[in-house]
Amino acid sequence: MPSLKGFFRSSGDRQKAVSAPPPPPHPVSPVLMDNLVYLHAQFGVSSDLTVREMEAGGCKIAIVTLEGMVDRHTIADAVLLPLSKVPDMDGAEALMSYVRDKVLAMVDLMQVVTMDEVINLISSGFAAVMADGAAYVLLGGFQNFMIRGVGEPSSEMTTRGSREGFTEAIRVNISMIRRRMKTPDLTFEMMSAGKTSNTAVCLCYMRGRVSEQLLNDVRARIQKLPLDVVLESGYIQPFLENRRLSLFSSVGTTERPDTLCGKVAEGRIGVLVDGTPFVLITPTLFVEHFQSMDDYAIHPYYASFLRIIKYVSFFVGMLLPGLYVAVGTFHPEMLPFTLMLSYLKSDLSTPFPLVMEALIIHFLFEIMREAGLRFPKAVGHAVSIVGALVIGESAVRAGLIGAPMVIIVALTAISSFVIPSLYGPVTLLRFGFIILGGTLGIYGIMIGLTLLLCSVCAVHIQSIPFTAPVTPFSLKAMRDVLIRADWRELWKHQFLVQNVVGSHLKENGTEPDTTDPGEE
Amino acid sequence: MVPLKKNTQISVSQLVCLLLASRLTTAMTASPAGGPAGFGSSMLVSVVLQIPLLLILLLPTWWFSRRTNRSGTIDYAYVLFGPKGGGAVAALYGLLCLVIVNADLLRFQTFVSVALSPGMSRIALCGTLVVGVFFAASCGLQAVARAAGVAVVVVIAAMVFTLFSLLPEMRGVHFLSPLYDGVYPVVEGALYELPRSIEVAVVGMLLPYVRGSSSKGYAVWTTVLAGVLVLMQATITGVLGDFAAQVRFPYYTAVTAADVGIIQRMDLIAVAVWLVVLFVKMAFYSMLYMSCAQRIFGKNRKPLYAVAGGGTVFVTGLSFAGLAAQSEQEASVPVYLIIAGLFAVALPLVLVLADMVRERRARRARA
Repeated sequence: MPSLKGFFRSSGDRQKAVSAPPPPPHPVSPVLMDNLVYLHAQFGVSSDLTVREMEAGGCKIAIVTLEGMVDRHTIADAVLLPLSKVPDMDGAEALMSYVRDKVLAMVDLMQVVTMDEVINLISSGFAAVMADGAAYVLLGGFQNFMIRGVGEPSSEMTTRGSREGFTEAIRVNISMIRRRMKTPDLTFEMMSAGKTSNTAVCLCYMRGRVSEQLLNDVRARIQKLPLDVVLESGYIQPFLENRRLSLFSSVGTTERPDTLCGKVAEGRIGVLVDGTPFVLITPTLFVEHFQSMDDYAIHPYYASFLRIIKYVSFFVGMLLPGLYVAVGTFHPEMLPFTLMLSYLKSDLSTPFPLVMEALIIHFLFEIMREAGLRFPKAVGHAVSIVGALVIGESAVRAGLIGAPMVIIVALTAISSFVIPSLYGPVTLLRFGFIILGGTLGIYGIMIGLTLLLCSVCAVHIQSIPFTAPVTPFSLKAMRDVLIRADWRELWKHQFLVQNVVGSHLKENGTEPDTTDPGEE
Repeated sequence: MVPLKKNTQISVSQLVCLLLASRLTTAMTASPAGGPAGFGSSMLVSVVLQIPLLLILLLPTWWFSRRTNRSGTIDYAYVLFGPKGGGAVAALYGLLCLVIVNADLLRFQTFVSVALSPGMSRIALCGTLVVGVFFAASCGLQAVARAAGVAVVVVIAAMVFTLFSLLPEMRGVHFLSPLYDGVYPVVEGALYELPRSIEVAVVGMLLPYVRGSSSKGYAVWTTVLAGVLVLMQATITGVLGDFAAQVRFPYYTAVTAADVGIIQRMDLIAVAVWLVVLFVKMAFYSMLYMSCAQRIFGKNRKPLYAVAGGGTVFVTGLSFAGLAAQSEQEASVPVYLIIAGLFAVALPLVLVLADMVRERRARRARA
């Protein structure tokens, strides 16, 4: 738990965390045995390290792979068999040249001089060929690990458009993007993250559209990642954000290649992480949570109507229970007379105060939602049925909760599922507003709402305000915010995220200072 | 001295929104107590008449801004008088901001927990408000300015909605000739309205934080302000007429007459909207106070400044709540006029004169 002294410590002190310099890379030794000893030392008793030693061309060689990562049949046919037939060579150099030109005749052939690179590449499904007397290693890609097939994205369903979603394999994901954007400007920049996991991370952007300043910033942030293991893009996400104390993130995620292509075409940067189908998109504006791929495929009038539905759902999901509690507890006279009578009738028949009733029922709902999500699908349905029966029927009949509260919970739950990307923040805020409404009435709700507004307005990435183009306001941008204009209108002005109102990226090429007077 | 960076700046339109939010907070809870007796048609002209007076009040700041190439008054005080003199000016500004935040907390208590919902816990209400305000202030000027944009749109939309919903309650007979009682009530009303725009006091400090033409911004601010105040006065006069002078909060009383069908208490909606601008205003001045504290004591220890400022406002706000009734607050209008005069007129003039003297001395030394 951070101490009070730590709370008042200056930000400068906090940034003085000293990180140990990385150890120097271990070079490949010309003595084969030394390299094999080093590999065995690094992998220890790991059973998947496979070393096949043999003699070829008068030299001792070794083929090193990791079991399960490579296609053993292809290696046997394309490497081991030709190597066994190599004529006698004049030393290791000549043998390695022969292997490079005649045996490993493939596109992804690599020659490396450090053992760290060897370990990294064999962990990615490469086969390493080492020869006694050669101070380098040849590696060929023979990947054949099991991956999940391309399927429909589970978190971003659409009624029209592609049914393809990203998978866990980064190369497959790259190919899905490239297939949609046939331009040499589309760039994939490979990096690695996690000191131990060495997870492959790929920056995806379009040259000429992305802001160099933004790109350098994202690149630097990933290079400076202090994490040891990176297993999901969510590990990296907080390091790309600017503001810690915010419920909303300026880094979005997508499972859809078509969505990523659209975002990259607007000057954004995609961050693909090996092992997860969720790709990060930076920067993401608040209004983008209310946009979906469907909006651009259906009729603009209907798409505009759906936008309004989403905005209303956001506020209903976040505020309705809090408002109900506030009005019911402190200002029942706000309600029309007949509604007030039915509210009073239900209030008199329940033992808990309204705020407790709301908190309990929403908490129970969240438990059931979580249970339904984690259980296998068949059991999950059963949980939903039990939940509906217990809460919807039995609790009302037993007089534990009022019938209006059940209606409020149902409305809130359905509304909060309309924007899946905001489910987390909306749920937390809902609880906050219930407490504020139950203790301070409508005044508490308004204080909380304005505080939330200020907090959201403080989020930015490289001077691009998260709340743009609503505040700072741009009337021109409203054609894809409040409504979704016709494509004949949308195509006229190319939107680039660095040109959004309030951004300084277009104005200067220097690293901007984002410190703000009084900003934490 | 904390150097100011270009990217910390806000646009002119955001400045306009901040100033409007600040002024509307006062306007929505303005009380005739301690003010001019005629709170009817004459005020329609008074609120317009105060605009040229406001612009006159801003003239010294404008002159200072032109002469010093838009340096802030605090920045320039540091340049002219060194760390001690500059620190003193920053301390004065910080104190002013705290006083304004404190006055708003008193206003909040008077209006909400005394007039509207006396049963509510004052400590809980004020505590939540102060914590929220200082947290929002720690988000920085840009965040508060962006929030002000939304707040102003919401409040103006609510005002227009209120006006339309009150149309059936308005009586044409209430709109007498503004000069029915002569010119004196009109001029007196304008003079009483003037110090309610206390934001003119911090305009000099804000100069370097604004990107774009500040003069244009002030012109837009005063014009929009005149429009909104006329809208508000028309609502009050149309519904209440001369009776407005007899009630504690005329705008609130006028809004209670609205009947919007499903919403039985339209006044609560108006109060909710007022709370949004009040919060933004308090966050704005708290942020300026924290900025002044950083100037004096260094950039570090920001949470400490927030806790100290918030604690002071909370304690003094609760302590004075019993003493400072709304009428007493309104009676302090001349005090606000003096404060506004000191910061908007005297300080820029003193700085300009000091700069002239320094320049003359430098010229003599060269000669």
